[in-house]
Amino acid sequence: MKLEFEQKIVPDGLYEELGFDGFLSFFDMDIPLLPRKILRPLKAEKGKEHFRILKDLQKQVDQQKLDLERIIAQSRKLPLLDFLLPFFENQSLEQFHLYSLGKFVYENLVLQEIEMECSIAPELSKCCLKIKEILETHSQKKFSGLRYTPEEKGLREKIEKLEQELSAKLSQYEHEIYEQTGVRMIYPYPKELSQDAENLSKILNCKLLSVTCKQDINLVNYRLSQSVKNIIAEKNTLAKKLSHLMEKKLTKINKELYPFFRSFRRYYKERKNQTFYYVLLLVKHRQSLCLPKFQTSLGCKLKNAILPSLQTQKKEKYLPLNLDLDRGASVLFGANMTGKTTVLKTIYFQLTAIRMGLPVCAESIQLHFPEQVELYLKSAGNIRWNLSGFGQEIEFFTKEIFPSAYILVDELFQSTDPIGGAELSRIILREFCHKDLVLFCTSHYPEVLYLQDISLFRMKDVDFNEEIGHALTLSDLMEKIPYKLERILPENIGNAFKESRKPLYIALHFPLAESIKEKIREQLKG
Amino acid sequence: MRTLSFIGSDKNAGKTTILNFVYRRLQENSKGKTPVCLASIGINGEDIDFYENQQKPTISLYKGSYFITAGEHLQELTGKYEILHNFTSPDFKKVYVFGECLFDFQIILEGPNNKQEILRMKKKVEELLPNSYLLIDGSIDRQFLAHPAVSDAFYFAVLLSTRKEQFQKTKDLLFPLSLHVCPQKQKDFLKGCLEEDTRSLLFGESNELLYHGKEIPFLDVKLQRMCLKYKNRKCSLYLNGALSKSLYPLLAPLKNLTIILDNFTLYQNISVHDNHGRIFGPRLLLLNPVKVQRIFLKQETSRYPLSAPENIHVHNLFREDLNEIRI
Repeated sequence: MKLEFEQKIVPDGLYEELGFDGFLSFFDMDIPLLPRKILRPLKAEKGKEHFRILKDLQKQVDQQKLDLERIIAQSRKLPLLDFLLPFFENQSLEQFHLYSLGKFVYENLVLQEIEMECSIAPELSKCCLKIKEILETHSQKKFSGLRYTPEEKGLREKIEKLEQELSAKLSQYEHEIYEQTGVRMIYPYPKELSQDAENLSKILNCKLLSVTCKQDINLVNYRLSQSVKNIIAEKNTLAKKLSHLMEKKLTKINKELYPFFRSFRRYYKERKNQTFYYVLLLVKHRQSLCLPKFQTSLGCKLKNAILPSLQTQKKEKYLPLNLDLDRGASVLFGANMTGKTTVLKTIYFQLTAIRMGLPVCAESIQLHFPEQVELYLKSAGNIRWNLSGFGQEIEFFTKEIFPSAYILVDELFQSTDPIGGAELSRIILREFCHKDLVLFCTSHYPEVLYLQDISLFRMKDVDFNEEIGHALTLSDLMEKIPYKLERILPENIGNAFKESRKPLYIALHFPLAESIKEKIREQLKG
Repeated sequence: MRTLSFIGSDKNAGKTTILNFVYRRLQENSKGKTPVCLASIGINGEDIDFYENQQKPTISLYKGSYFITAGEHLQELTGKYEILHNFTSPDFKKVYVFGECLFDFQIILEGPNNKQEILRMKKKVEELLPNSYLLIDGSIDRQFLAHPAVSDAFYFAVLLSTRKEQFQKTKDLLFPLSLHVCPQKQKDFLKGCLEEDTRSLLFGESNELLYHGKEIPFLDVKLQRMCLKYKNRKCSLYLNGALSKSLYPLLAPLKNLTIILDNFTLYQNISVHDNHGRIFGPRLLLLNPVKVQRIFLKQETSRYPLSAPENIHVHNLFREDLNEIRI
């Protein structure tokens, strides 16, 4: 099974950067019944139902009523039948269609036994039993051949006898040609002889052969005796008769099967869906993913959420994300390079996966269903669309936002001058903080810290105080950053404001000109 | 399992007759103990040539033999075969049936014409009939057929026609059969560099890699530029794409170049002397040798002598004693 997202769900660059491909490849499995599935965003009700089914199945797995590995192993034996359904509906199934259909119903029964009481659509599944009965009546050797009636059997024997007789006659015929002409011929291969061939006259006189002159050669062909021709004709007549009987048989089988078509089509669809659920759960188990829990109140609580591509890159240094977002607006405040954007991307990754119906990389996630997820990452604008970075950001906020949406914005209005940017940030945050949605943005503007009714977070930072002036490389710095997120309580807002001077501390650790460093130090002291 | 592929130099070169003959002989030789399965890339077995409105030899199968063909060609054969496997989507673009004949009958063979599907088919045949012969009705323009993973050996049906153009086609088909295989050192080097999508490799005398191309060579402008850039150095060019008519004049003056074709099918109807009498400068070698089992002639004329490579058995089904022909 190859999973893909519907186009334009995730912007191309982001899809690649966040490693959606790698994540979806967890679900790659060789299951003929589910070759490829395009995932589309789920509406809240459908999405919740989807995860409810998964949760129920998970319960069965936990209670050891379902053995997923065994079920998937058996599911692999079910053939894809999409190619034959139109023929089934049209009552024009051919012999080879019956083989695939038989294989499906047979292997499906085995699968049902493994599923035990968890078996899907028990009422509909009865049609599979009926189909199996019909196919077994008319076919043999596990549906690979059609069963003959005594009349058909008799015809087959007669044809076989005639074939043997024909073979003997032709051998005799070839021998007679050799006796009469000295030329070895094997029916039906003609022979080319030159004009001066030594036995040409014998050949020309032989009644068993015909000779036509073509350019500079003589083409010697066969003149079959009447008895041979009779055998061939008789064989053809019998073969035709048998074909006619077989055609009738096929019509009869199609007629008998047809009443079960609609039930079967529904069951087949159910089986495909169910197999998809099994795959999701098996991958969840293999990759230690989790199923989201849905709440009625707005918000999102992530425990040890992971961005798989980043985890692969950072290995044991990777720190999962823990975050509790409430309804309304939340701001993530913090210095540069502390991982604010990564937090946004991690949340976006998780929400998108849930929106598409997939289990996610986290220990647990509790949230309201993410029917709408919007992400804005800072941009340098786009010449083609004639938009500056600021223009693009403004345009982002013109999108239709539905209730309960998740809106994630990186560096809120950092795209314009700091005074206007801070003012716009305050306006947007005030506008959204009372709405029925979750807005989560990052910001450098200290002005937003004092807004009412806004949840504040900050990225834990490196403590530089003892290390001022100590040379540091960029990779040293990256090593030191804790990448941890914490809530800013109202009493700590003043401290958080101080933290906004972190870029100055960071800059001091780089080999800048001494005159610049001196000015930074003065600024810090002041 | 041994896979034998059949290639004809032209239309009406007798390929189907050769396929029928070899199939029948294999049946007789093994006395039915070694299963024989017939398959095709593309379509073959229709009794009429629609272009020339001529009767064509059909493919006749015997009871107990196996076949792979598109499901649509089995409508008339209901009840006369048993199914071993259906090759269906998503791995195959069409439904192909792997069956066993319960009677003698004539059949139209149709199979996939891409490498991946053929390899998947082979895997299944090998799984179900491990000690068998798989006969593939092939075509020279399907280059994947010459890949060692696809064919173990070839039978050639060659038409010696009175028409000059057809005779030239025959010569062009036979020419690469006489090409030598590149030295082991180069083979090892290439095996280390080749990737699934490699289309060309340009490398120097000490095996230093100068260019790795993944585009079809005759469309790869960068490859062509690199070949010209290193024209005064002794270089080798591995091609896994046709040495086409457009590539040929560009490479013709490069006397220091050795061209290593992945397989013989890549040499496409190009004479080593072009129309203006210029000699093709590069030396031509093959990476994968051609395992020619037999060449079968269909002679419309004796005017043009055939220069078949040494050590290859050449027969004429229509003129020789068939009992004397070994396959």
